[in-house]
Amino acid sequence: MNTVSYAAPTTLDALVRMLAERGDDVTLVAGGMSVMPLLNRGIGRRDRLVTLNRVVGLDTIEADEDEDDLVIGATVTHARLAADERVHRHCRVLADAAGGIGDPQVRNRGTLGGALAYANPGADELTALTALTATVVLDSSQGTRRVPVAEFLLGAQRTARRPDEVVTAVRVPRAPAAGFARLGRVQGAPPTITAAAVRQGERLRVAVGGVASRPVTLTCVPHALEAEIRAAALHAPDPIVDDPFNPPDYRRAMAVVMTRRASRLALDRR
Amino acid sequence: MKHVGRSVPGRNNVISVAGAGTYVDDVRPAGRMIMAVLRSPHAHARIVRLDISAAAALPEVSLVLDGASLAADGIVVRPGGAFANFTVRQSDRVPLAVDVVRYVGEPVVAVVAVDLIAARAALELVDVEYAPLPVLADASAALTGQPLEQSWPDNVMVDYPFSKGDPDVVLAGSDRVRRGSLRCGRIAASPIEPRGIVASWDPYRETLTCWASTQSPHVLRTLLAATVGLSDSAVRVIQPQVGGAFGSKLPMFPEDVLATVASIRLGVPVAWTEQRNEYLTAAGHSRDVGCDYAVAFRPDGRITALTVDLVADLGAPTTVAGWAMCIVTAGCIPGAYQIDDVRVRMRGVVTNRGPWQAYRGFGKEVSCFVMERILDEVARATGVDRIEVRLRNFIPSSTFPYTQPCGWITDSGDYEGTLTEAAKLIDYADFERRRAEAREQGRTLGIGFAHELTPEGSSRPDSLMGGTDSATVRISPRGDVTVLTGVTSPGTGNETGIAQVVADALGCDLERVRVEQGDTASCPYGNGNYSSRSLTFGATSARLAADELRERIEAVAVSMLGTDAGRIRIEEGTVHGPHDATLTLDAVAAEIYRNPHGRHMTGLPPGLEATRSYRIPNVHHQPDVDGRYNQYPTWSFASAACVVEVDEETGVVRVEDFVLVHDSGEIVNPLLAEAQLHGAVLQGIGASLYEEISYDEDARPFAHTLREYTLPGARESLAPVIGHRSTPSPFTLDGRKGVGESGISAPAAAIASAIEDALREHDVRLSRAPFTPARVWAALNGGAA
Repeated sequence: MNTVSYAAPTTLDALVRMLAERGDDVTLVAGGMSVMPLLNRGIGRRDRLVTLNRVVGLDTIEADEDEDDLVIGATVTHARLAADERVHRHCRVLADAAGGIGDPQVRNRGTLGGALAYANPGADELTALTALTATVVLDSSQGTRRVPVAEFLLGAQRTARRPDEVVTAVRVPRAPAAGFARLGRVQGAPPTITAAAVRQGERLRVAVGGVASRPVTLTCVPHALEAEIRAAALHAPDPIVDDPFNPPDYRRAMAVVMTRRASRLALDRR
Repeated sequence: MKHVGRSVPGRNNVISVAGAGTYVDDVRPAGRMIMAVLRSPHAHARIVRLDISAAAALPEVSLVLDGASLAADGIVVRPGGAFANFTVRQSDRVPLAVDVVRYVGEPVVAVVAVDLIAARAALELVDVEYAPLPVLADASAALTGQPLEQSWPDNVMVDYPFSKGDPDVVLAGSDRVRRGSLRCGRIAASPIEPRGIVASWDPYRETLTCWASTQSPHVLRTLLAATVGLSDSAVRVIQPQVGGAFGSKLPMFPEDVLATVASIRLGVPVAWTEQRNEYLTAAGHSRDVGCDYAVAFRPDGRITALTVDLVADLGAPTTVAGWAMCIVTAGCIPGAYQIDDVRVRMRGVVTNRGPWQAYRGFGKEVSCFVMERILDEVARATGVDRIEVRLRNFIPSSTFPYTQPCGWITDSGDYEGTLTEAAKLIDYADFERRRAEAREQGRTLGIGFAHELTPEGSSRPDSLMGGTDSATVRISPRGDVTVLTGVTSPGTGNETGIAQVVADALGCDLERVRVEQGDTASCPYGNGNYSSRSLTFGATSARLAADELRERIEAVAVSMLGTDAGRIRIEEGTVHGPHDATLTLDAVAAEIYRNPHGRHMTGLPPGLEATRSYRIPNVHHQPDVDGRYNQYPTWSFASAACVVEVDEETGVVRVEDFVLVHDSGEIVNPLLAEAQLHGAVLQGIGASLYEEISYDEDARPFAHTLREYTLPGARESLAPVIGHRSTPSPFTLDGRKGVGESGISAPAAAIASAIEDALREHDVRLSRAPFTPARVWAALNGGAA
């Protein structure tokens, strides 16, 4: 019979050593909000579970003054992101995204690192981080590397993380003028479309989640936005996300609507 | 003081809120083993090879069952429901698939192991090879495809046509005719507690005890005993606290049989607790009905003829009784409306979707959706106001009892009363001002109406749901009252209402009455909880038994007080005689028990216990010359009005206000009635906007968890405004009609009506529930909705 092993390392060093040895077999668990429902249904590997929750130093939010980045630890919960004052000041769009995820119970347990690692299409924080041009910090026994979030997300539930690596933090540049919009079905259901818009001088940088398997991005001047996002949504290179409630033509149209709403918020916050 | 009519808080509230309820998964007898079920991943496939040896070889596994071994042992389930008066095709079934699987989720193998982890590990070792077969993905495929059941000539399980007058002639001669198609999406009841059973065979006493999350312990006992070859008296079924049922826990499920067979084979208790992904695919669905209609009408909106051709996708053939909902859908057309020339036909077809199982509304919600959408279409075509067009077509209050075109007899009603009150409560007269105000804020509002009919007390001929129930009232030597009922509570609080009825009948304190339900060893025979019958049948049976004891108590009290009959009254546990003489009921009870041979008991039977069964008088099971009969004795009804806001860019609809004015005859406990109505309205809103069980072209289901099956949550909830009206049933003892299903039907039609009203400049038509944002958006952008 299958047995489940469960490890709770307390240092990053111990964690990456475990991954170096058995990374292929390990299922990392933080808040468990993505992985536990799958394991309960018998989906995914469950022989070796390793929790991040006791690893010291993964749940911090710190400013990196040199690069003007906010460095957010992987096990920071959605609830903390939504409430944290520094996050609000530095990159409010991420707080807005985190505050709409799931329900209070899910936000209290689910983590930023988990959302990145599971890479669900349309996931609120991924859209926000993409528009913010955030960088994912990955650690392994080989050392640390930084990957821009747009390169980190490869597709639906597919990322650039190697089996011997763990997402330890996200570095987020400063972006005070930004907006976030979300279209979802009911409280607790995954979002249909998420859009984030960040002002950069006279231009807007926009990311839309939920149309394709990873966020669609573009940068343009506000008045060109709708035409461009329409074109981008129509010609997204990745497979279009599709479910019985939200067929592709609806998703594409909503990408435009949500982008418009996010952009309006960003422009209002100039 | 009368207890009936008072808003007494439900007796189960504290237990539920404290988390102190004992649900079936909390029942853990010593030595309990766990059953898990392997289910078909295919909608239709032949089982080419099935090897259970590796699973059976695990040391933690005690038993592995497959269809072939059950069939060899003669474990076969007869179809449930009532087939009298209909031509229904049916097939016996082995509780595990034999040779062929017919829907995703069908049980294939059952494993019993020391715990759930071991049982699931064993399921992974079962080696099954399937060869896919052509799939009947929906009703239209079934109507033209090869028969799913080899012994059937086609896939039509039930074909139920009826008519009155000659609608074809009227339609042909009318210059005002509208035709259309409507569709109700498939949904799942989704109680928070899924199904479950603990079966415990005692090999020494040769008795079986089952704890089951069921609505009908006595019915389950008889069905189970018959299936496994035991006498009914060797089986005891206990219903622990149930975490919601809504019809979906009417017996008997294949898993009930599997756990029972396993326990008998092993001689230990065997427990099965359903997981949500099993529930969503295999526990049964409802709705999934489409229709084509034609309606003729006069310029004033009066309907002169109607034809409705319905097709229901019943899913795979099964032995639970959910299929009967399609009969009720047809029978409730045209429902509240008096139309002289009508033809209705319902064809219920089997497909490779999941099977149907009963769900609140029991088909009446589809009739409501169809009729109310048609009434709105007539209003639109004639320009007559939507309220007015209904008033002009309602069955007049003076014509009850009214024989429906299908032959069922509507006992009483005052439809104008509820509809005009609903319009008043939503402030219809002031709505245009509200709409204009919202418009200035950039918000699009619409108002909508619907009227629903909920015939209750379903009494099907030739079934174990024939429409009677029993209760025992027992008064102890110290005057404490115990009521044992055949009806059960799925969490609705009917025990509180039954106590109120009995306390009034006996003249005792409410607190002295205790109600026991859901145990076949102690409770008298009853059909259980369904069709809003717990108070109309259950409490009335209890009242009859209490009345019998009251007569005896009065005779003894008269003798003890040395007075004459008619000169005493009993209130709050005290007998008052002439000249301020008093006597407690406790003293009378003590006298009856202590001196059964005494002078006060002369000519009276001893003891204080009575069992009575109530049979409602206006059910007719003998078909008339046209083959018609009546299965529904009481017809509750309700009118809904709602205001919605539509986001024209996204198609998102939000219900801003919802009014429901119901008329369910006499109400025992207004608070608990409102609690029922709040839940029903929210379930109705769920089916209107959020919920749908979807299948792809290969009949594979989309929803495996509540992330995909999007039930409305707290954010989507609202507190409906409830109006009570009462047109007592002239046939039931206390005029009650039942409130358990009211409120779930009207929301879909009322919300559709309101969305169309909000978008009236765009001339949008909503014909398909649920009205998801994508469908509303498509309708707005010229597509079909």
